[in-house]
Order: sequence, then C-alpha cells, then structure tokens
Amino acid sequence: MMLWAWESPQDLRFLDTPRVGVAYLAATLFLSGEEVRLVHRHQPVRTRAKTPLMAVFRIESDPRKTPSGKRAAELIRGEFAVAHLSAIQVDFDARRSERPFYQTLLTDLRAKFGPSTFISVTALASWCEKGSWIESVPIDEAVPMVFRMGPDRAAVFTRLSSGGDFGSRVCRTSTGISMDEPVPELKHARRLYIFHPGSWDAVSVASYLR
Amino acid sequence: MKRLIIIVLLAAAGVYVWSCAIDYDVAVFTFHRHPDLPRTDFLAGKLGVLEPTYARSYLYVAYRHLAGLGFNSAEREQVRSYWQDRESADWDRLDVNWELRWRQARARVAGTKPPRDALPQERYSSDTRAWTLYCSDDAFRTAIGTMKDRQAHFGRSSAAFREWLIAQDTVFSNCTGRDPKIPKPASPRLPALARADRDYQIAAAYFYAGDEPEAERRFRQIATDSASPWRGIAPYLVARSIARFAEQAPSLDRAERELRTILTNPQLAPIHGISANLLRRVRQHADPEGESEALAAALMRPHAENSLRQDLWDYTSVLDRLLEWDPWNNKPGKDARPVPRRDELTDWILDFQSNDRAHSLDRWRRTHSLPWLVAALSHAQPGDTSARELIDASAAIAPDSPAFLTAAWHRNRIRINAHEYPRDELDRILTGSLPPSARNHFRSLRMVTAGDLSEFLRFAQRKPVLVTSIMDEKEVPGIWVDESFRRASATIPRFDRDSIKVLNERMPLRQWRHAVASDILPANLKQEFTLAAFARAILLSDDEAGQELEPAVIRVYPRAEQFLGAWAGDRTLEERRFTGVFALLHMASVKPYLSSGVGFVPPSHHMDSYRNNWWCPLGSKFELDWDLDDYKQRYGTEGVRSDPDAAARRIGFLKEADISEGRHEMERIASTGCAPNFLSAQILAWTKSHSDDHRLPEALALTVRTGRYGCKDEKTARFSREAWSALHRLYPKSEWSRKTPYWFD
Repeated sequence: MMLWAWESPQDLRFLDTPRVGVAYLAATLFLSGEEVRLVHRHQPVRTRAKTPLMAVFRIESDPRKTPSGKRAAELIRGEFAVAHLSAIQVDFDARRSERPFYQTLLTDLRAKFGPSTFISVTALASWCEKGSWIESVPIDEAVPMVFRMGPDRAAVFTRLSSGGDFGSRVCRTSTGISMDEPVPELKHARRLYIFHPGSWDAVSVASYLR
Repeated sequence: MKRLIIIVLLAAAGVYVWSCAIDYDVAVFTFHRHPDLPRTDFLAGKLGVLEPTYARSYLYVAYRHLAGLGFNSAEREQVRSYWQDRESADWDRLDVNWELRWRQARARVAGTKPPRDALPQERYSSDTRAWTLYCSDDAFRTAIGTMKDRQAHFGRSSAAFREWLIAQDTVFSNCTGRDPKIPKPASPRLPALARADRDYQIAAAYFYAGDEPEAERRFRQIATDSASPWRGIAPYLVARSIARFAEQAPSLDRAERELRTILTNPQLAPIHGISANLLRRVRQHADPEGESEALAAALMRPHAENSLRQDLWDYTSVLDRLLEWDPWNNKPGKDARPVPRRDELTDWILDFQSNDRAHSLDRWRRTHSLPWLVAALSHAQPGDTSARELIDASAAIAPDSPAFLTAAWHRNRIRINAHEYPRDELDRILTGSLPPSARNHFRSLRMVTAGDLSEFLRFAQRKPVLVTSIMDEKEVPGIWVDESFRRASATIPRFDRDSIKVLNERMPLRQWRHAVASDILPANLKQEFTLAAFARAILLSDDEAGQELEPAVIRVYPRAEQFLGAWAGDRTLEERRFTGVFALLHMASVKPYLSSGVGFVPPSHHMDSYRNNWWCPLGSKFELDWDLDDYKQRYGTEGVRSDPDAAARRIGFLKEADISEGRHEMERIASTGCAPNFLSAQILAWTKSHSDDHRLPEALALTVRTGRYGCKDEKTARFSREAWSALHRLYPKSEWSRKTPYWFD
C-alpha cells in the first residue's frame, strides 16, 4: 500500500511496517510551451528510515501552449537526484495534444535513470484499455486512478465490481483510490495507492490496513 | 521566518493541485468559490447572491459593502493586487530575478561570463524532504548595490574591493547548503569601511549557513559598532536571526521584544517599516487570535489603502491557520479549535460560513444591521418562527443595496420551501440586470415555481458562466488562465442538475413527449431530449410514444433515417422495437436520460474510444449523478438535490400521480441493466425468429462491439460471444463476419 502524501505537512513516522510506503509530492512542474517552472515541495514529510518512498512529480500544463522541449526531464532528473531514491512517479493528466510530449518525457526519463529506477505514472482509467498509448512508454507501472473520473466512473466501477479488469497489462499492478470518494469493489489483489486530501494520521491508515 | 511564511501562504493560497481526468468539460452555472468574473462589479458592491462557500477574501469585501463602508479606488486596487498574487502563487516573490542580476553584475566586474549555474535560493532537507528559502531576493539586491558602491569608493582594482568580492562569493556559497564557508577576518591593513563590510559578511555567512545563534551574536556586535555602515540595519537582522524558524514561544517572545525595542527608537526610523512587517509575522505565530482581531480592525478602517493588501493577506492566512482550513473540502480541519470571534468582521464571516442560525438571528435582533440580516436570512428555514420576521425585514431592502439579491434569493427560497409561489417577484427580479451566477440562481427558483411544463423547461435552461476542463475551483480562478479566457465560453443554454434530476427520475415519458413536441427548447437540447425520449420509448416498450417520436428523431438527427428506414413499414410492436434497437446501436452517444451541462455528445458515426457509449445501469449510483462527488469536492457543499422525490415535489405543477408514474418508469428502465446487455438480448431474440432480416449481420457485429465499447457487467462478455457465434454461424460470408474476427471478454 502506498500513501500519496500531497503538499501539506505530513508526519508519517507512525508507519511501522514496510507494507506501507509513501509516495510524496516532491515537486510540481508548470509547463507552458518550452517554459518550465519547477516549484519544490515546501511542506515537510517525515517518515521512518525503513519506510519505502517514492518521489512524485506533478505536471500542470498551460492549455493554451502545448508543452515541448527537454527542460522538464532535466529538472525532474536534478530534483530526483537530490531525493536519493529508486522509485519515481509522474502525475500528468496529459491531454491528447500533450501525449507526444509526455511519451518523449517518459522515454527521456527512462534513458536518464536506466532500468534500475522504478518508474510509475498515474493514469486516467481511459488510458488503461488494451492497445492504449500507455503501453508504448518505457514505464514499470501505470496506476489507474479510480477517483475524480468524471463520466467514466459508472462504466469503470461497473466493470471492476463485476470482476472485470483494465485491458492494459501495465495498469494491472496497482490501483489509485481516494479517501474522500467511494471506492469500487476491487476483485483483484493490487497495490493500492491512496490519496488523502489533507494530512495522513494513524487512524486513517489503520482503516485501510484492516 | 521565511519558511513559516511560505508554509502559511502555500496552504492559504490553495496551491493544492490534483485535477484528474481533465479531458472532459464541465459546465459551471454558478460560481461557488468566487464571484463572477471579472470581479470588478463585485468589488464595486454588486454582490449578486453571496454564497457561504466563497473564499473569505470575498466575504470580507461583501461585509465591508454590507456595512456601508465600501472601497475607494485605491483600496479596490489593493484588493485586486491581493487576488492577483494569490492567483500567481508567487506569494512574496518579486518579478525581478535578483539572483540572476547578481551573477550578471558580478561577472561584469570580474570580466567573465556569469556562472551558468544559478545560486539556489532554497535548500533541501533530507529529513523533511522539503525545501526552505535561505537566500532571499533582498540578499542579492543588497549585494548588487554594495558592489557598485564599493567599486566606486575603493576602485575596481583595489585590494579592498577585490577582497570584498571574494568574501561575498564565499557568503553566497552558503546558499548551496553544503559545508558552511565563512570569510576570513579582514586584514588590519584594509580601510575601516572594508573591515566593517567584512564583519557584516561574516555574520551574513553564518546566517545563510544556518548558524542563527552565531549570526545573532555578530549582528548584535555590528549594531554597536559606530564605525560600521551596517549598524543601522543590524538590530533588524538580530531580530531576524532569532525569528528565523522560530515556532515556539520563547524565541517568538524574544524576537518580539527586539522588534518592539527597534520600533520605539526614533533613531532606527529607517528600519521601522521592515521591523513592523517582521513583528506582524512574529505576532501571527505568537498570538494568532489577537493578530486576527488587530487585522480585522485594520481592514475595517476607512482609507485602508496604505496597507490593505498586506492586511488582507495576513488576515486570511491567519484565519486559515486558526481554522486548520482544508482547502480540498473547503471546511475547517476536523481537529480545529473554535476560533474566538472578538470582532464583528470575523464573527460575521465565520457565522455566514457556518450554519449557526441562533447566533446570526440574535446578532440581527440586537443590531438590526444589514450584514446580520443577510446572515440570518441565509440560515433561515421555512419552519423557523423567525422566518416571517426576516422575510418582512428583507422586503424593505432597496434594489440598489448590495444586499438586495442575496436577501431576495433567500426570501424567495424560504417562501418556495413553504409552498408559496412568488412568480411575480421572481419575474420582476429576472427582468433586471443580474450577475450571471445570480441570474442562474434566480432561474432555478423560478423553475420550481413553474405553473406548467413549458415554464419549467423555459427556466430549466441556463447559460453556463463557464465551461472548463480544469476541475479545481479555488479562491482565485486559476494559476494559468486569465479571466478573459475563463469567462463563459458557452452561450448556448444547457440544463443544470436541478432540472435533470426531476426530468430524468420523476417526469413521465408522457410529459417528455410534450416537451419534444413544444417549441420551447433550443436545437441542442431538443436533439438530446428527442433522442433520449426515443430511447426511453424503446426501453419501456411504449409503442405509441415510439411511433410519435420516430419522425422527431429523424428531424433532429437526419442520419437516423438510414437506420429507422424500415419503421414506416414495420407492422408490429416487435418489428418496431427491433428497428429502434438497430437505430440505437448506431447512435452510441444516445442515453435514455438527459445530461447536465455539456454532458451530451451529439451522435455521430464514431463510438467514443473512452467507452462513454450508450449507458450503464441507471440504478447504479454513479450513472445519473456522476458529477456529484466532483461537485462536492469543488464547492465543498453537497449542492445536489440527490433525492428525486423531494426534488420533484418542490415543482409546483407536478402532481403526485405524475411523480409516481415517472418513478415507476425509472424503475423499469433501471431494471434493464447496462445498455450492451439490453441491446444484445433484443438482437439475439430477433435472430432466432427473423434470421432472414438483412440488417441482422450488421446488428450482430455492432452487438459484439458493445461488449468492448459499452458499459460492461459480468454478463456482457457472454452476450458478446453469443452475438459473435450467431454472426459467424448464420452469416459466414457476410462482410460483417469478416469485419468481426473476435468477441470481447
């Protein structure tokens, strides 16, 4: 189980099992054409030394200027190097027009990090059908987010609750859910990523561990 | 200290971004976190219908207008400046990149290119995995000024100037956060000014290296050095060294004492301004309740233009902290302590945002002031004994009052919920000039009072204030997008949730048919209405409705004639139903219900590759109310009338028998399950009795595809496989068999 720790103070030192890791927002990149602005994490996230960690990079894009260039990959690499971790997640709800850029970005990150770094991406449920573009990028997992889904939700919930699955193999290792939304009945055992809109505490985590 | 500021401001500015699934648009009919855009009218006192979900900066503006104080033009600019800074998320940053300017100026003096690598202004902590500001813009700006001055004073090639440069590089090398580097003490041979500079550089180096106690000690020495040009600012830097990272009372108290000493010393007047600012930040942490009271008083002063922006920033930030505000759900943190309400402004804002009926009523009865009347009205319910008293008081509010629309809306809300139908008053208000969100608010009330279906449909139509794919709705309209872009892009009327809740779930098909036959709907809604009504007729096996609607379907979607061509020759209900199902298979975007906002996609020969085709089981919680949680998340309120019976019973012209008929139809439609299963069952049944129908190969091929592109359950794969088997068994040479090599699990 991985806890998404977003930009609010997070004291997760109560986590005493390696079964629960933390995917913390490390930085947010704002893209507008070739321009990139990186905003570091400013809120502390504290964990025990043995807690598995993953650095998450959120990407926001200007809908008026399709992102381009290599700067984003360079900045992520620099920021990730500071964290001294071996697992990274990119969170970018790329529009159709932004997909070529995103594919290039992920390919660049794989080239920079090599095979030993675990590369995860968050994925819209619609990206997880068989034959989707997500299958062509060099990543280790795509985490379908079954929350904040909009009109797709009924179809996805109906499918998952009836034992169906995502068509794409890369989407079948993990599922992303949120504390503040209904969760579909998940028939398949998967690594769970859980989003909390505020700060995690022991009680919230215990409810999922049970 | 800066770290504290950033933490507070980041949280307060709502820099929490998590917007999934941004590929779909949503229509916003009324803004809930901020007023209509542009905010010029709101700032000028045209407040529209105030919502408790507005960010507190807007409620402050509203309160000041309601209290009769308003804003002069300079004050309005201050408020605008506040909103702009919240929007850019640049908090205290200046537009000028002083770090880059330092590198450029430094390189010019040394005759070299500026170093490519920027000096980091923030430093990473592996303990917290977060970044903290260490080297501020001010540091680089001061260094540029000093460098120019010393170059002119000592001469470019002088030892004093060259050593100053080297020492300054050492000072800034501490910005990297690596091993601390402290400049060596100045040689006694250097001039007194150069030696004083060096003392200052050494203190600064300790400060940037994170050794605040040593920095404090050295700045204190400089403050007593009458020969030092830095003695004037040194007392402030002493306080800053103490206050930096201070979160506990002893350090905050010590910093406050230092700053108050500065502020009482007229000889230190040049640093009174920055010291007052620092004192304010220290106070916000030492005594946030007291500081919020002081800030509220400052915000309610006439002629507040000299400090309004900063006061408002600090006030909202302090309240956010005190309330442990959860920007996601737009409510206080679950462990937050009650905030003392020591002043009217804070009392009113927190009451308006809560549902404290007794307090607002008490305050209104004691004061008879406009703000408290608005607050009391906003909380009042029809059964309250005070409701009539508040309604009567609100009726005296003049139309040009900033409170008029909010009071009128709540007055009529209360009356309607008491089963009164104030149509004339609502019509009068709607003929006036209203902000777009307020217009939609009042149209919603007027729809409920409709005397017949035509009126209902007329007021159900609303023009969105915004169509957007960016789900986050924060205090400010957005990080990227300016107001002109985010102004309503859609001028086409749509249905909001309140009308489709009733139409979909409690309005019988009989009345849908009247709607289709009427001229009250614009083309986009008429197309959706007609196609959804036709789908309902097929699902309900309502042959009479189907026969009536079939020509209407072709009128709103002429391409449907290709699939409905046989209808005129069909003699039985079963034949017409098959033709209808065949047509539905070709119109994947058609659903047996209406969508709110921009949810409806006109039919085309494409299926949606994201599987938003046909429909999921209508009994499923999320098919009809898919945006319920998004709505809640965005606005922090339930907002949606999720009980269809309650929603329908508010509509004046709907009889209980209508509602019962609509409910029964809804239950029958829901019992048909997801679209692929229903459509497949019809086609497979037809295959058994009419295998010679030339449309069947195509119908079976499309049926197989519904198993991939439609909403599935555990039975769908079996239907897909059965359709595939029938297709290949009965029509092995058909082009459709060739195009359908497999079924879908």
